[in-house]
Amino acid sequence: MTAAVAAMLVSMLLPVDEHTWPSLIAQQRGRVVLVSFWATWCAPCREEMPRLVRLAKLHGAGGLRLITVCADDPGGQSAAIDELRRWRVPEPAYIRNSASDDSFINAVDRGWSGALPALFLYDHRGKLTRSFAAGTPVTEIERAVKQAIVSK
Amino acid sequence: MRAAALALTCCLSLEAVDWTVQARGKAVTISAAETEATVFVFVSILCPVSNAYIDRFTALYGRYTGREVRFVFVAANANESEADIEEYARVNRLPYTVYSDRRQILARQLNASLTPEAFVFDRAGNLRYQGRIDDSLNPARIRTHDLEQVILAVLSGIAMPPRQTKAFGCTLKRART
Repeated sequence: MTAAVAAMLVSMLLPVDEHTWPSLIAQQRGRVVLVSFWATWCAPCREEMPRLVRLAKLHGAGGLRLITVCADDPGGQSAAIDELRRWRVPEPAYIRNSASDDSFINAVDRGWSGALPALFLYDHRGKLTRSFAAGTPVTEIERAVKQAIVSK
Repeated sequence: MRAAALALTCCLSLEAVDWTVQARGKAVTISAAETEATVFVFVSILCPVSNAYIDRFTALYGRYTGREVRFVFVAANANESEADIEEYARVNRLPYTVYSDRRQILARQLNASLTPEAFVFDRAGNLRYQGRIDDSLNPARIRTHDLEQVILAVLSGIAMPPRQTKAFGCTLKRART
């Protein structure tokens, strides 16, 4: 691994909760954003992550950014960071640090049950345009990403 | 949408409310009218979050069974067979039965999305609660025992609007239709 690649890998997880969530999304305006909620205990999340990383690489130049939010206990980040580095997930990477997961889940999407994995697509204006259930084929996700990119 | 659906299911039931689950290849009917509270808990053999709650499920089961509460633990993942469930119950020495809903008839009826997820119905078949067991996967950090609070409210006859809470958990693996 080159020093340049190592420098781009996740080195820490930034805390996020229902209060900071809106500004996290607002900061990405101008880009199409895929937000992946995952956890080290979630096997399907870990299967899906390499596919999302690949998607981010393919469409990064077109303005796609992949943001990950880990639902592990905020006290134990090292396992999550190791996994993200292994998959070469790009920064920024977040960890939920909310006093109320119920409030946080609802702040992200009132229609979301909290089931993981969960994937959300935001357009360049920061509007949530699609949510993808676990097991959605990556081809469908890619189609939605491309549509969002050309709509910029 | 989910909150509205929750409100609608409360207090409209005039007929006897029954549900069906499977055990050892046979259909088992659960009737709301038989107890003050019927508590469905969707679990998964493979979900670490669901499994982290086994001790808490066992404690709740021990505390309230025989006090007019019927617990119905249900495994509804399409990839968890009845044989898998029986082995899981045996290995974990579960004092309660884990029923199967592999075709997800009950899961769809109740709109269950993840594991663990609890649903509490009163004797009239009204949905009183949908959601998490408590507010922390880590037992040392629990501040609210949501499911137990609702069970106590139903047993006490305390009128409360139907409640819903959310927590992170494992997606219920839907069967291909």
